[in-house]
Order: sequence, then C-alpha cells, then structure tokens
Amino acid sequence: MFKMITCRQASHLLSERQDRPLGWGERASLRLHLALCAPCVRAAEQIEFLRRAMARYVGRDPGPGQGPPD
Amino acid sequence: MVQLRNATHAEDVVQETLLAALQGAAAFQGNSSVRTWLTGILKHKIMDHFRRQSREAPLEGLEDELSVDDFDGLFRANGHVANTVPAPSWGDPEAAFSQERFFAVLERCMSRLPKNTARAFHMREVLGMGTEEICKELGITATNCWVLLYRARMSLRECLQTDWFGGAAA
Repeated sequence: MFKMITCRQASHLLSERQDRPLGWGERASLRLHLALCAPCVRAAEQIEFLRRAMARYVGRDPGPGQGPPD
Repeated sequence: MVQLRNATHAEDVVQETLLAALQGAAAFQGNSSVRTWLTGILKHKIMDHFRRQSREAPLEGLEDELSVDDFDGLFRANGHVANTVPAPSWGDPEAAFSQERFFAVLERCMSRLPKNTARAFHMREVLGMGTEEICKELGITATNCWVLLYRARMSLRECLQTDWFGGAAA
C-alpha cells in the first residue's frame, strides 16, 4: 500500500533506516517520495554523508608520518 | 573526549584506560597497532562510564529533547520542505574527510548537541551500539531513541551546512 508521505515523514524515515530495517510499506513510500522530491534526495545524501563522516571519525587513520591529532 | 562533556570524567576514563592497558599489556599480542588497541579499551571504558552514569542519574531534560518542533523551520505546516529548491550538494565526502579541520568542525558541532541527544548519538555512531542496546542502557523506548538520533542527525546537518559548507571552509 503506497501512502504519500510528507517531507517531514520522509526525513524521519531517512534517519531511522540507519537504525532499524524499514518495513516494506515504509521503503515503498520513501522511494516514491524521493522520486518526486529533489530537496529530500539532497537530505538523503547529507544524512548518508554524516554516517560516512562518523565512520571515518571513529576509525580514521592518521596519514603516513602524521601523528594522531589528539 | 567530546562525548564525556566533563573534564573530570574524561580524565577518570583515560586513567582507567591506561590502567586497563597496563593490566592487559601481557595479553597484547602485537597483532594490532597500539593505537587501535588503546582506542578499543577506551571505547569500552566510555561505554562503562555511560552505563554507570545512566544508573546513577536518570536522564534529565529528556522531554525537551524529544520534541522536534525546532526543526519546523525546515518544513511548512503541511510537512513539506519550506525550500523547494534543493540546497547545493556537499560534494565528494572524501574531499571533506581529507581535511583534518573538517573533523574539528564535526566535533564542535557534536559538542553543541543537547546532552541526551549527544549520548544516544555517540552510542550509535561512535561506539557502534544497536538501538536496542542504547534503549536498554538509557532506559528509554525505541521510539524515543529514534527521535534522539533523528534530532542529532538533523542538528548536525544544519551545523555542518553552516560551519563547514556555508563558506567557513574557505
């Protein structure tokens, strides 16, 4: 069952999909919304960017010859 | 140490880490770098610290942090975005990650998060805990946990947009 969701609802799903598996209906609603909404596609990119940044922040290696900043 | 928000606590945890490191030195196989090894111990110590803290003091001010009304500026009353023109792209993540200053800005943004939000976010993204585990540690429902993480991500997005991508990086 497709349900048109708002950008606010889409933003919650974009965050929650990093914390829990979305249900089939949620995934479908989100996909449909993203197909129609450029600003939410950008939001999705930024939330993914943040996740990658955090992964790097935690595990990032200092470059060769560089000490850790801390 | 941004996640401890308290210099004394941070020192305690570092001391405990060094102690644990010395105690564990005999067990150190030398097959991972000392930095990785110490970081691993530190993470566990921070987690212990959070556990102790949430046992000692129940979450304060949680109610305030569970409202996401402060992101209303992003959305119109009908729930759609206020600005229908997408913001400029943040570009290649690697380009930002290659700059040490990016992570300093990210840290500063994290340090501005409200207490419980910061705690949940660090448990999730720094310590890599699952939401179920976080809910248990913090004694909150899964829904509240997702709201805290949502709030953290939305705030960090805004902060990075302003402090890094908004020209400050130049």
